[in-house]
Amino acid sequence: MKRVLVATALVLVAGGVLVAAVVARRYYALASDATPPEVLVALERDAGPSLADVRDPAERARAERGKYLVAITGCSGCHDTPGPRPPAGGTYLAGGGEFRVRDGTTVVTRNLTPDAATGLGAVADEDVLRVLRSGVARDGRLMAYRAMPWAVYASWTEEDRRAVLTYLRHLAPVAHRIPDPLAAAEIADPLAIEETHFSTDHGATPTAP
Amino acid sequence: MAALAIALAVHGPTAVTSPRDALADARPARTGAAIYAARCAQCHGGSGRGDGPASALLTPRPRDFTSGNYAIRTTASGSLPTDADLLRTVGEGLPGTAMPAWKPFLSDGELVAVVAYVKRFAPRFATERPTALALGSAVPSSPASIASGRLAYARLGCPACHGDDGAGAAAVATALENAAGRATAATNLTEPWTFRGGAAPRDVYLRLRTGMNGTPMPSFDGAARDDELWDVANYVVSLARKPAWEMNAAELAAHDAREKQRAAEHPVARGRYLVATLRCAFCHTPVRSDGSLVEPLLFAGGQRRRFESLGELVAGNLTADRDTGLGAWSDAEIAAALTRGTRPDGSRLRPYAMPWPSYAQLTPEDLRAVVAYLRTLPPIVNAIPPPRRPAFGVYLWSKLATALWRHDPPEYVYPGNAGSAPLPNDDGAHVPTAEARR
Repeated sequence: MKRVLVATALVLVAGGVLVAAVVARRYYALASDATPPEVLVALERDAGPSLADVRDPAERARAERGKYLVAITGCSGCHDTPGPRPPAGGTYLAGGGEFRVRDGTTVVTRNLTPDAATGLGAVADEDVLRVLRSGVARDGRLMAYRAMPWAVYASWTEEDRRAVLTYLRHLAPVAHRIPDPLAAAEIADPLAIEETHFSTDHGATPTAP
Repeated sequence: MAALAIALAVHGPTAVTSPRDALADARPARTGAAIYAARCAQCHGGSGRGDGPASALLTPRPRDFTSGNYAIRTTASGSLPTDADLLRTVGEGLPGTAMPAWKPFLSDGELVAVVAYVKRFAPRFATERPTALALGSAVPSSPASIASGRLAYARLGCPACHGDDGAGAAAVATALENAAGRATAATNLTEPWTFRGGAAPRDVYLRLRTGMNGTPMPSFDGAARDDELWDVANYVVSLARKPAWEMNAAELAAHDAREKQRAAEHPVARGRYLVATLRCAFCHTPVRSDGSLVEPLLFAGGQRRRFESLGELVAGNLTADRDTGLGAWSDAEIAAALTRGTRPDGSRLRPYAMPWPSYAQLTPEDLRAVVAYLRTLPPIVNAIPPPRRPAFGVYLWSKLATALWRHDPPEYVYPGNAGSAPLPNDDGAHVPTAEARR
């Protein structure tokens, strides 16, 4: 009996030491540090769709320019769907990260794919361009630039901005519904971001077809 | 208010139902203030000085309403705009800038109210009564008019700023400043979608008559006959090139090749554009609690973020200071940070904070341009502390909670400068530069 207890205790201690070692290693060395840079770069490079199917060569050229701009700008950093359960269509630019602004407002990053019901599919070109030029949403709300950095993209030339739009129109559509911003639309001091949440999907995959 | 409402009815973007519409607002001044706070203050600032929280990132800067200097008007040079001018700007926006058209989102009464509110920022509006210039009859465009306009364009000195071709070729005045002392550039006349006041011949003709207050663009009223100014307007309109979104594949290829050539010849300018659109200043500048960037410390780092399970990170100093910035880094070391996420001491940048895998997608030419521009940033002394791991207990709790009940670990952004430089006063007088240190 005593031997069983000692053996159990040893196993538990050994297991505990192992867990502690794993945890301590993760604490002191991040997974991203351990990943070779080439792997992370390739992930980013291969994230967007191939544009080989775009028939019109001028449209394809504009979309390629837009793909380059979206890649270097890193829209996917906020607009990719986070969390362990990705939508069926994929995560690329399908939205779902959350910003909480200092006054309590919550905004969730939009689905930029051309899905008609939940993405930009039914949104007019000028409505998208207006966001990227002036930060004004479809309902006339001025977005907090600390959440959606529209003031940065206001510096794009109009030609670059429209190339980005062309590219967005050629993404793989993902059905992924994003909730509307919560709390007041007209905010006196909307700008200071209090916290962001980018480990869980704050959108929802629609269940109805 | 009645004058404004009538101006809207006569000149405004849409027909207003009745001037009583605007006057019937219970508290028009407060409505204007509420609209301004929600839609205007983020750029133009609460006190109308054009220093709103988003303003540090915008080129051109938002209008400083207190100066009374308005560029797009129908009035004589040096004069204020008319109410109709202001309503047109608010309603239809300013192409080539971030100023949107608010007409789709504001009722006529609201447009009137916000213009009335904006006028209060400049005391001149209380005493001056600007009147629109009388316009001569338009000269329709024709080959003769355009030929005459080309001659007048040269005679009036336009090429000095706008170049022989309207796009800056052989321009001599290339270091232009506006009345606020900021660098500005002559509009590229081959890109009519960037003309602030619009690209119709009448719009161009008006700019020639009125000048653009607060900018180096003078008025040519009296410097040429009225019909000659119309000819110049027709000539300018004829300079328009096709925008990329209307080009065919061959035109796009040629356009791209020209852009690459220009970027190769002017890497700092290309780098300035890239750095502005790659969002660097957004993180690499201390931020205040109202969301504004501390402009005297632009690019000097110091913005602190805390990731609950990953620790605290402070954005690096990108200015050319040798001890605290990038001044002692080689070009290859800066490029390695952007393409491999490594610092010269071998430590790694965190991709979830510094999105270097995105910047690694830059072409080699664009990467060189970014480095070339960063080299030009005036050195600012701001020593940045190294990253800090989270408290072990917080780390354990965060990891367990994420694994067990879908906890979403927050990231916090903190106002203030976590670097060594003291935050300046509003006039930016106390930023220690390298010169001051010596």
